[in-house]
Amino acid sequence: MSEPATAKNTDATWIGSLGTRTYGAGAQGMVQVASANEFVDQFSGSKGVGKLLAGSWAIDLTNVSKMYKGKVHALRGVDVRVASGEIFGLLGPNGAGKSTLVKILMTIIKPSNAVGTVLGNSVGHKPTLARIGYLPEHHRFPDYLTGAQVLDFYGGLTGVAKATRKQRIPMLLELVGMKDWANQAVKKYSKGMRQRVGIAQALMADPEMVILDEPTDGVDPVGRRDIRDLLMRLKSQGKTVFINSHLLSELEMVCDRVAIMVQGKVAMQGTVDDLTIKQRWYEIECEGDVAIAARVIAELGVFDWRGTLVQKSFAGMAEAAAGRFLAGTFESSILFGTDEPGAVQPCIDALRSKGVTIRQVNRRRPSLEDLFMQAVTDPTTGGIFKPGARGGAGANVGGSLHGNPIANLDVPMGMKPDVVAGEKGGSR
Amino acid sequence: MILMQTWAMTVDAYRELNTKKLFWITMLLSVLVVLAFAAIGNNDRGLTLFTWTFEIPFLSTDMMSRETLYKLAFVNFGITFWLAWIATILALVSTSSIFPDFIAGGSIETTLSKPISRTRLFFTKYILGLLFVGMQVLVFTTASFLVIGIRGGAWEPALFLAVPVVVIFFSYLFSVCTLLGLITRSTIASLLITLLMWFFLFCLNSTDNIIQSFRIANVVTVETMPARIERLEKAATSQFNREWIKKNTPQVTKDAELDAAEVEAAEVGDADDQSKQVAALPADSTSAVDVARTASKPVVVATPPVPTAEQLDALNSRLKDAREDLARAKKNQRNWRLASSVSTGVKTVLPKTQETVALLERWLVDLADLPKPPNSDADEISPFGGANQAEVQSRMQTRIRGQSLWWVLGTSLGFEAVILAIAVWIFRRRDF
Repeated sequence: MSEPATAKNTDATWIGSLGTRTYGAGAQGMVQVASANEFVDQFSGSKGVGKLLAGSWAIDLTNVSKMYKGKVHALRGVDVRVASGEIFGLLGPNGAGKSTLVKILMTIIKPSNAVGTVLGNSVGHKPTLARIGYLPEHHRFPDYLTGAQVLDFYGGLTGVAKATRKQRIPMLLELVGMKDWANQAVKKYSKGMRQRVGIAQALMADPEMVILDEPTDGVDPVGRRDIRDLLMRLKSQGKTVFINSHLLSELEMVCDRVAIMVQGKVAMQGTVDDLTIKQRWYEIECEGDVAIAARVIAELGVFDWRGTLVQKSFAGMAEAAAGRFLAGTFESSILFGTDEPGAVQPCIDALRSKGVTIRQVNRRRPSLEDLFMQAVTDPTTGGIFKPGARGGAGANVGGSLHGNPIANLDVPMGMKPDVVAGEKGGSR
Repeated sequence: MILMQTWAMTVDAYRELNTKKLFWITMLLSVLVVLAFAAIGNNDRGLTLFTWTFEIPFLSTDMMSRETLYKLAFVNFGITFWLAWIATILALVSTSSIFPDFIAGGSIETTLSKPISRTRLFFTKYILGLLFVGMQVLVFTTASFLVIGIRGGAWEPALFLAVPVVVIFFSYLFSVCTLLGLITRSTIASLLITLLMWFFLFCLNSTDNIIQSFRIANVVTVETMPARIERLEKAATSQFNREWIKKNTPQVTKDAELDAAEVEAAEVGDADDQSKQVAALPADSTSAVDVARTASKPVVVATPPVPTAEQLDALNSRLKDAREDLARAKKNQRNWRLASSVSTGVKTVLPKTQETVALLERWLVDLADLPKPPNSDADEISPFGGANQAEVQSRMQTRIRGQSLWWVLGTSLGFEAVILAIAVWIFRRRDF
């Protein structure tokens, strides 16, 4: 295994045509970059990732940073790994640096520092882009082109042969439900229709990897379902899908793994199951007065009884009791801070022996949205991190308005503060 | 792959220009100009337009063949006015949005994400912009070629030199427009600043013409004034002798009459005519000693003109002015030389738009036997001190026509190369 060398990627080296394995000679001389084939899985703490074989990384980035003019530190040493053939979701509040990271992958932005590979070649390696389909956020295709011409033009730029383009264009337009609009000018399209054509454009070269920046932006619910189906289909074909989105519920449905970026850094990365493995709980919903059931459990003495809980989750609290699991009530349920079925069996027996009617027993875990909220919450202040990547890790003034974010975990998506709700505009 | 990408961009550029109404309006106007060109002609009475005849004698076939008329119209109107001004402005308006639109947010990201280098992307886009301007010039030139051939009876392939020359001329402005488009991202701003720069180049060229004219006039003065002063001195001496003879002899000799003619010649400003007249005098007639010698053998030929004191004063005054002009010219010689060097130096590093178009005229005059266009540069020259204006004009003409291809095209293309290097450097470095 060759040690991935880290080096400041100067403008001269990045802009120039990069070799498959090396950056051009800059001030620091030739710098070797590890290829995916040489990479040995060192990623720890994630079962899913741990199963991956060497050479299976579609994206393998280490210490990617970007400082814009005006000292805006958009990325502060991002490490991201995306396995081949998986659907990977990149999440984060506005200005977290998601789009900057994607644009660095697509050579639209040059990084201040970047080490790693994309499909086995150095970041910035132009020929590799022929193997990647990309849908930019807020894309705007030339108004004078029709949908079919958009695909033809970008297909030609990607190097797709004319005969192949001719064959593929109607197929792709049909796939995204735009066949009837093939010969209409793009300026007549709605936002959702443009998005569909954009996705078709990303697939023109039959890429190994598809990077979609907010693919469901402006798309109606039916269209979103179609896109989800399409993503699953791409995955079944062995393609890697990298999605950058705010729509957490949709990502949760399709993503194998996610990374949550906050203020220019990756705060969490892995499968949702892996990320929540220590935050699962059992929930027993009882009929009648839950206080009776609570007294039964408290008297049992197996759990560290916490009384009435302010949240329907044990996120971040499972280890707090040093060996003793937590328990408490939330509305008509009793929550047990454990993932072990055996631990709750005595409780079920005790409740039944005291005549408490059990309506249902569920094994729960935090949602992706819960994880997201944890990631964007400043543990020192309990407030939400400032939108954007400038400055340090301090909480913003708005944090005090939300109070303890954990207490807000059950607030429906639409009721969340705007930093969570997925409004765009601040991201770079 | 490269060919495929280039072709895709070419088709896209065509589609883009195809949607721009101005592109087609310009093309249509070009065709109309050529049709108007074809509609005119001349007959033995004057200029004709369709079936109408305008009695303009100097444009009649007696004075000018139809072939010459068309060639004259092509040079003076087609090239100098239409291609170098109106069509260029329209082409700039058509193409100024190419780069601002290209790098607009939401548009450039998709293009940059394709496997094509930014440098190639930039130059392909730039060359395609020029290509479509070249297409317009080609259409105009082809139509003009046909009109001159069919209506004028002269088939001149040299007319097609207009295509590369006008494209090169346009490329100076387009390069600046491209750089400004990249910097400002605004079509309007880049177009306006480019037009301002063009106006600045025009003013600079006019200023240079004036400076060069004054410098040449200065040189001519320094070169020719001593000879003139010498002649005036001789004439003044002869005048003095004539006064002396008049006082001592009741009759006027033939020599004295010739002296009077010499005075007249010295008073004439034209140095050439003057020298001819002086040369026509007998060799022994300009010396006061000779006059005195021949005075002893008087021959009565006519009533002698009596020189007045005013004439003598006027001659002395002219002599004084000539001496002052020479002294002033010598004094200013260094300043004009410096001003000329500075002006030429500034022009050397900037694109030479007017000279480039003039280059085409120069070539067509030689290659296509086109009539020489009136020299507007010479017309702008004002009288300069004591220098001979015709001589100044002649030398200016020689200077303009003697400008080397390297100086006109080489340095202008050098400027364009620098501008494009800056533009591509910005384009490659920028984060979109």
